[in-house]
Amino acid sequence: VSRSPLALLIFGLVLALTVGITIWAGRRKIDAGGLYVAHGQLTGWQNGLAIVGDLLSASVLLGTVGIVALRGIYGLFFVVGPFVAFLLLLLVLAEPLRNLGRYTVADAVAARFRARNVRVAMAINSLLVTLFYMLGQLVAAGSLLSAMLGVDYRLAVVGVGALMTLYIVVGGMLATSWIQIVKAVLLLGCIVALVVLLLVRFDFNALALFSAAGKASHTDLFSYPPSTKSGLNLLSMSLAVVLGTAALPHILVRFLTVPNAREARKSLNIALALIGPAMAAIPFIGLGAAALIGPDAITKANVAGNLATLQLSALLGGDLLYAIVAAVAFATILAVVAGLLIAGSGVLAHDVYNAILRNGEASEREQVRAGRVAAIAISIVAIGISIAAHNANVAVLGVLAVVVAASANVPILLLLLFWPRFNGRGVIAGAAAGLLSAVGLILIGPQVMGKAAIFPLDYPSLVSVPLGFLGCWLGTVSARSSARSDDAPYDEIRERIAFGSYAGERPAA
Amino acid sequence: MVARETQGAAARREPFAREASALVRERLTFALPFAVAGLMGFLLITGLAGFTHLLDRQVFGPISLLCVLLLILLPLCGAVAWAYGRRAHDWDRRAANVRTALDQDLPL
Repeated sequence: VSRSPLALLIFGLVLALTVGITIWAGRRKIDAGGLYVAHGQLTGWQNGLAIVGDLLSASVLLGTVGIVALRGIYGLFFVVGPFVAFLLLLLVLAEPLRNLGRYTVADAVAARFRARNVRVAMAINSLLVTLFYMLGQLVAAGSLLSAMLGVDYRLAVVGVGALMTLYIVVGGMLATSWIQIVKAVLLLGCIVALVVLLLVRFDFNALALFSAAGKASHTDLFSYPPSTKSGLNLLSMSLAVVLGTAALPHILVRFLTVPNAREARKSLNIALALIGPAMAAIPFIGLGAAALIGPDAITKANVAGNLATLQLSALLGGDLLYAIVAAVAFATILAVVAGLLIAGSGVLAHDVYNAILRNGEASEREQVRAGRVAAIAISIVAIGISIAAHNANVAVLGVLAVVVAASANVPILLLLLFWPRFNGRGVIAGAAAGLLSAVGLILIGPQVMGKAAIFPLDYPSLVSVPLGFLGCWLGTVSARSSARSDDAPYDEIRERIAFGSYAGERPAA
Repeated sequence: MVARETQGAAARREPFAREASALVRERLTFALPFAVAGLMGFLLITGLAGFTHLLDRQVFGPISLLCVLLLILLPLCGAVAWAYGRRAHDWDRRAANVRTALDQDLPL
């Protein structure tokens, strides 16, 4: 992988663009609503593109392409899973959550259940999921940037951490959203360019491309050794990818950045329309890398195949395309960690500081200050852990994030919206059951214990998701009365789900 | 007097509660089967790929059936999203009518 002056120049340009967007956004008035959800004023198109940016992370552009190049089309499950997740979000969760929430996912739950420990439980889960996901991204970002730019790993992590903090502290959600939008457009452009250049090489004959990939590979890219264990693993992974993606806090908070449920729906439709073709292109790029670069050269550059996209870019489009794709990958990393940071700082400042510690009485100024301090604090912790965990298995962090989100958040959100009898005790029991079973089973599973694993599955969601639902049910039925006196009646929640807020579109806190 | 006013307010709200219940039920009746089918369809393909050799068969030269199935799943999801969007326009209109009635204190 080259480090040409052209690549550094385009890196610099992309960096300058993101900083410019941040300064532009920072000149606008930033209160709590501006910091966390851009005042809910993004249009469906803007939010749709930002969602595309959130989903098409470096792990898709670099990681999944590498998986397809080295292990074959079974990497497709990683790209189709999130697409199915977005369909579930569109059909079931997005609009009701938009009508119930304000700044965070916990707000939607607190709209129905007012007990403080319900918000604590939701805040803990959201914060852990965000932190796990962020750590995985930061460690991967540090490794990739040190490989791409030749800088020290620690310096790369500190640089990415400092930039994501700058975006949030100065520009808030507006800056983060516009960086995502610009990055999504650039990324989609890169994907189109790569696929077109690739197909030109094979005279627009996809079968010839697939055939060449099959011949170049040492393993059969188009089959998979079936067995009970691998079948259960694949099934459990798919469940985690679909449900986990649909319940990641930084994705859910995107539905609060638009003015009403209709725009939330429109943004998901736009995201689906753009993500579908982009995801369908990933196997072409992966198999193209297998065919033209070959597995030996791919693993020589990076054992996991994370640099296959960049190697293919250099081969197909020379220094220019390599430089552009590398810069876009860099922007992708920055934008995704910034999105995670704003979701995390929202939880810490809005849910923990304002709602729990200050009983919702912090002034706008105090909330903004708390949001900025929370962003800096989370960054410092994340940078510190990422530097310490340089040689750790980062895959386990991503697994933890999606499995906890699937096991703890999905049962609570579904039952919150559609089960009249559900109560606060059910929320706490479901959050605890989902979180503890997910973390516990991963700790005794192959991701952590290797061959000595007690639990056989990499992704324990086949067990932990039902346990999350069971926890919600047991907690609910074990309560003496179904609701506390200060909980909102389900009829009121149903009206808000159906009609939104009466006093304008934005519901009261 | 206060009790009569409270009863009157409750009676005025009754149609709104009924409409809310109907809207949420209609949404679920339409969306839930598609959501469950989407999830189950994806898990079925995953299961077939993980437990059997059925999807490994070469059907179009080097492309396995799995690849074909997954690439069919993407446009199918798109079609469901499009159909949902069309239905949702009607729900939006009804919700807007309710909001107007509530804001202006009109009967539904």
